[in-house]
Amino acid sequence: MTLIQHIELGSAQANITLSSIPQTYTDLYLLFSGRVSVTDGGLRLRVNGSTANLSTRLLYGNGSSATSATDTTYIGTVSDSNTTANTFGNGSLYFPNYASSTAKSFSGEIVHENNATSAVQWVTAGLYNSSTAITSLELFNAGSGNFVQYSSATLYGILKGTSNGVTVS
Amino acid sequence: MSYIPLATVTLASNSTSVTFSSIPGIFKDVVLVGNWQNSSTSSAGRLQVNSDTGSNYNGVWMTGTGSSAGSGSEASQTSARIAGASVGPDNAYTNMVTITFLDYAATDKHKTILSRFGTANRETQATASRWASTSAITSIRFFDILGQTFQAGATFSLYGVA
Repeated sequence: MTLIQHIELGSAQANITLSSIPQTYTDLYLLFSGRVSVTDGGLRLRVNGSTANLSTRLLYGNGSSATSATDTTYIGTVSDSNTTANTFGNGSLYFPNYASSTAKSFSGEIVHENNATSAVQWVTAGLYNSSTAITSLELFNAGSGNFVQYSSATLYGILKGTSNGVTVS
Repeated sequence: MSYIPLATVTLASNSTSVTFSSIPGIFKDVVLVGNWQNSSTSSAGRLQVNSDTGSNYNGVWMTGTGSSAGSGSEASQTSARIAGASVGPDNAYTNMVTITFLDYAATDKHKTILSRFGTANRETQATASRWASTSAITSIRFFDILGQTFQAGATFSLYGVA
């Protein structure tokens, strides 16, 4: 597991983009911490600079109810301008076989909380239906807001391999 | 935190199961990542550890189909629930799962197994399972209890978390 890129915003910004992703790993693991400047905390994904060829299936729970939905680029919500100051939503996206020439599945998870009165969890299954390898990932707000200062994202590359005598059959 | 690659298989032909064996107890956790298609959408991925076929698996899960959400539980099962409605070999979609075995090498506690499963055209699911044994986990078998096969090209990797 190798750190590819870490971004922490020095000032508010409309998106967080991890680009020029090398094709030398097996999987990608993206961790992020975000808060947006508007009341809509929705988070969307752009792959290789485009929102095309993406689909998601979401499961949402808030402690009292659960719902499920489908979308194209939506992956959940992070903390927004109505939530407790200085709190951030935290999440991850995992892309196996991101450099393959077949469609790429991915999974995601996000959690955030508001002043001890509510908490939210999102679990997402996604597909990037393209034969093009993933070279960039971009997170942006569904409500056209900005990520606030100190929002961050960290991208890791994960290699396959064999070590320590483990066998697979 | 770092993922140490322990073993990976890319299936050369369809297979009824994948088994990781001789897992050393030198890591904090281990994580299994799978990406596959099934021989049929009528499928249900489950796992057993240490070849234990006893009634030692308990779990809860929540699932979303895109139009409805649900939750359930099971107790004293002979395997742990991991994957729900999945995709067959007839389209672009693939199933994906990450399974984390927490404190897998501990000998003083039952083992917690957390999984996240999904395919973007059918279902997303999260499960938490308990293997009722204090034995360290040294092998993991992932299979489809409805008898479907994992299709050629499927990839399964095991990582140690240090």
